[in-house]
Amino acid sequence: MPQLTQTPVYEADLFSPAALREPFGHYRAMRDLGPVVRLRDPDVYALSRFDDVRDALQAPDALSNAGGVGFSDEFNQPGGPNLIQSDGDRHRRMRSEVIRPLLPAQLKQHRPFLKSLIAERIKSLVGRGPFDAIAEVARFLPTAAISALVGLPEEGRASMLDWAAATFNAVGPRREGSERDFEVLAGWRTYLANLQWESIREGSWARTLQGTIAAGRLSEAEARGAISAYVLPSLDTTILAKGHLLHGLARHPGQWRMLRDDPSLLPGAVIESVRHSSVIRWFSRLARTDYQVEDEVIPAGSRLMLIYASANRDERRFEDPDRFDITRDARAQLAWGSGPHLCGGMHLAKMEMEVMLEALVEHCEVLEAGEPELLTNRGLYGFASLPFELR
Amino acid sequence: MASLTITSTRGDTRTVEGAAGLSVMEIIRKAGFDDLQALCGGSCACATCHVHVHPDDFARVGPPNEDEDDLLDSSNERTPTSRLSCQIPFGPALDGLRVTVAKEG
Ligand code: HEM
Ligand code: FES
Repeated sequence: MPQLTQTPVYEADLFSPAALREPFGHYRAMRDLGPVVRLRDPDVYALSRFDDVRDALQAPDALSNAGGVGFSDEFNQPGGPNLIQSDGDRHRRMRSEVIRPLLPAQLKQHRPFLKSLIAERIKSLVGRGPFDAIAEVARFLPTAAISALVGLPEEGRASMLDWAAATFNAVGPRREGSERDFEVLAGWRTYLANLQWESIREGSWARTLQGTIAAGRLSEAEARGAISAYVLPSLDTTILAKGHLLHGLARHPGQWRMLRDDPSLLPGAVIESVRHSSVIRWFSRLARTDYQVEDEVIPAGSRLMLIYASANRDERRFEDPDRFDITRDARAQLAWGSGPHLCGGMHLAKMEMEVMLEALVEHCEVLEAGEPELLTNRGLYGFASLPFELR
Repeated sequence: MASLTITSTRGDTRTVEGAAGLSVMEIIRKAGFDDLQALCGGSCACATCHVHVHPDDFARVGPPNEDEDDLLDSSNERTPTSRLSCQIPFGPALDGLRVTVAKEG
């Protein structure tokens, strides 16, 4: 019989500001402690090794998203349907509508425009002296273009970054300052409940969902809830991912040179960067049934934390995992998750990162990065700012 | 039991027995072919389970569905007999099916 009482406890607080800034030592210690560990606060089980996280992501019958993917009741019971916190048939129906404009064939039409926007921006920064790469480069396409594709009216569009930051902070357990996040989140929920379909830009991703109601594919509540899938995870994620990519290349001039000499390395550089510094740290699942990992059984009703960012640094899977190496084959990484909830915006994220890199390769010779300021967001790992120079 | 012949991107070929009720993707993964990534685990969302069906077998398999067609369109490796293997349910009617794992791109 499995001995539940022997599940090792990882005593340190993963959600302390210091651990949020420097999480990778904690992840390694957790991976070494055992396949399954328990945390004190929040009181959850956690998986931190690659194979275990991947298998869990591919076990939706045992491990539910509808029971919530965060660590607090406020987050896990949003009071209306949304994509990521749904299972089974509802999830399938909502997802197939949401991902339609996010598939590569649909995205292709936006690529030249996005490329020209970011290329102009990069050109204007070359030789300009120091600037903050998060504000000036990483945030540029999401706020200038992606938020317009989503389609919210102006006042909503202007709030997207605040809603997103609060949402990802609220993924974590209740802590000091959580009240403020839940207020912002409540503001988003009220905004969404009162949003008039007609005020959303015609032809935009969000507006297109309206047609699914008349067609009988989604209920009004589902279609409205599906709007969150475009609003909350679409901006901050790629902003922070671009920050990591810029930092990685600037800090490894040899690899940057290799990339300039051989742009066919470009898609691999993007993937390696999301592996090395995974933006979404973790989500959770609710165990519907007993769930076995090696010889341990996680009992039905438990909450299970899945640490994507640790899985991607697992030395059991990736050789010398802390090393940023654009020539490694990192395709099997889990930064975008896996299974039925695989990131719906993966192709968009890749495209945004690729056009940024193309523009850099075409217009810059030297990238230089200073010391980044790390965020303490409880769901997202990334930089608040990154001093940078392009020459 | 029906059999399925799989060729990897590196060119090694193996014939395996495939249980009915599984998708071709699941059979390929279970047979240990890691070059088929199947990142989304069969949700028709990633296009990393792309295979080329042998032209002589294609009529039995049939054309891609609409979502699948969109995903395949974005691959540079697409051929007239491309399919996403997670969207092909395996069974006795497909006994002897030959597929080659597509390169990424
Ligand atoms: C580098 C950037 C990004 C990363 C690292 C990322 C990561 C993730 C991860 C790990 C999940 C899985 C959640 C789970 O397992 O429960 C997810 C889901 C999701 N992501 Fe992303 N994401 C990124 C960008 C985007 C963008 C640009 C969008 C644009 C709309 C987006 C939309 C979504 C949606 C809608 C889901 C929910 C899918 C579902 O539940 O079926 N993401 N993302
Ligand atoms: S496994 Fe993702 S589309 Fe087939």
